Amino acid sequence: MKIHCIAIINRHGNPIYLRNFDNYQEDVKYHYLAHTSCDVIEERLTTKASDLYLGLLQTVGDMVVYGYAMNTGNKIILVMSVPESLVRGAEIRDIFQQIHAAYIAVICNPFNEQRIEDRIESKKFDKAVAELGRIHAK
Amino acid sequence: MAKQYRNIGEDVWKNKVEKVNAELFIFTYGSLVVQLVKDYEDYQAVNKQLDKLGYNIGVRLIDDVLSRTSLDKCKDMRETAEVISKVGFRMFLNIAPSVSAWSTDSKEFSLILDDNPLNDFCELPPRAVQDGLWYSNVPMVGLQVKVEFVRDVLRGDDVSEIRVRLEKMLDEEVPVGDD
Amino acid sequence: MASGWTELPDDNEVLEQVYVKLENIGFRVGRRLAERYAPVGRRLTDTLDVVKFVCKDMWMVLFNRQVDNLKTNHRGIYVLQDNKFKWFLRMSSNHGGAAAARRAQPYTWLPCGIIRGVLDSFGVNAVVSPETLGLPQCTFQIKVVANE
Repeated sequence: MKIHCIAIINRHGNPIYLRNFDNYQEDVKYHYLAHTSCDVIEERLTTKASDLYLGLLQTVGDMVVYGYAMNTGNKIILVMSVPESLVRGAEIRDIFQQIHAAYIAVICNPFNEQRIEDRIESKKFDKAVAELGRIHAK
Repeated sequence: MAKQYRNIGEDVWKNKVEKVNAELFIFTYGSLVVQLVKDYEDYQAVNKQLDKLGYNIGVRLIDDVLSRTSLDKCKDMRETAEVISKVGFRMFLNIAPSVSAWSTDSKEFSLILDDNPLNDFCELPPRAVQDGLWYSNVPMVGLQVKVEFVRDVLRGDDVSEIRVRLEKMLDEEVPVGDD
Repeated sequence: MASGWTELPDDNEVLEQVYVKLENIGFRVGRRLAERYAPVGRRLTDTLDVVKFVCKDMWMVLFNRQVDNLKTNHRGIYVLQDNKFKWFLRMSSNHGGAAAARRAQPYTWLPCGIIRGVLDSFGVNAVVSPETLGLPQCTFQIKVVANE
């Protein structure tokens, strides 16, 4: 299953990170997808889901969008190609947890001064995300 | 000799010290360093403050080590090195750096830290690397020694190395006041 | 220093600076602890949930115990009471209760910052102030300024 895009949206609905792994699509397409997915997430959150992993949010053409909402308000959006066989939820959950862990590491860096509206700028984070893209390249 | 100290260190760590949450400790240390960077706006000055802080902590820690173990005063530098590494570091950071690179006069050695918990999560800003910040510069040793970081993984080295050189032995150490 | 005791400086301006620095250090620690220890199996939905997270999970991380009592007026004020505040346990003073409490005050400034930092991470903007009536008891008052 190929990862097309990983995005992080803050609690105000603004993107603070977007990594496009797709050679054929402009970033703007994924910005749009992330944006519409956030609406779905907000809806899901009103049902008091206790799990951070929110599952499949929407299917758009040959792509599927999954969501994850941190307790501190940021949301992670994962865009993948439609799987050819049955997807194991645990696999998707694992990708989210790795992104979340990388995010925590960014915040925990003592020199990090990031505020809610700031974009994530960290070589370590970029590397972790790139590695996920490499593992799930097709 | 090394094994005996290793056992003492293990025992103290397991049974005789109250532990605090590791992240709380690491985050507090990191925030303190950053506060110093903001206050002094000069990485060399920060190194100096951390060194002073480390010294003041160190003289207290030595008392703590001695009161929790049945260790006598160290006879020579080799013994001191073992106690610092196997008992001191184990007791306060739960690591035991290896002792190596002795000078021929046995007055100087290196502590090699494969894993320095203070470094966890830390990514130094490029400026800090350039201007020579030694992030973990609190070497916490209460002897009249010169102690300095000479390598640090945060600055791109393979390992972290602390170089220790004996200048003179003192009987009594008094914490220096902040000036 | 010469007496072997660390005395509080008489100068209020100096004390104020110490407060600002300790509170700031605490804030940075709190922001990190919040992300690191934010629950993964349950969702904090409102301010009360977040304050409870401070009372239970955070207090465990900080002091290895939970706060003894939480009171709220349900209009944005929460009072956390710890009857055996860890950093006060080994303190004593020759000058009686009020003087001891005054001298112990700076020890509450770091936790004040930590609490404010944790709340901030969850989008709760608050002012945190400490009060000590007699050691080792300590209360922290959280006054919510705004919710994002």
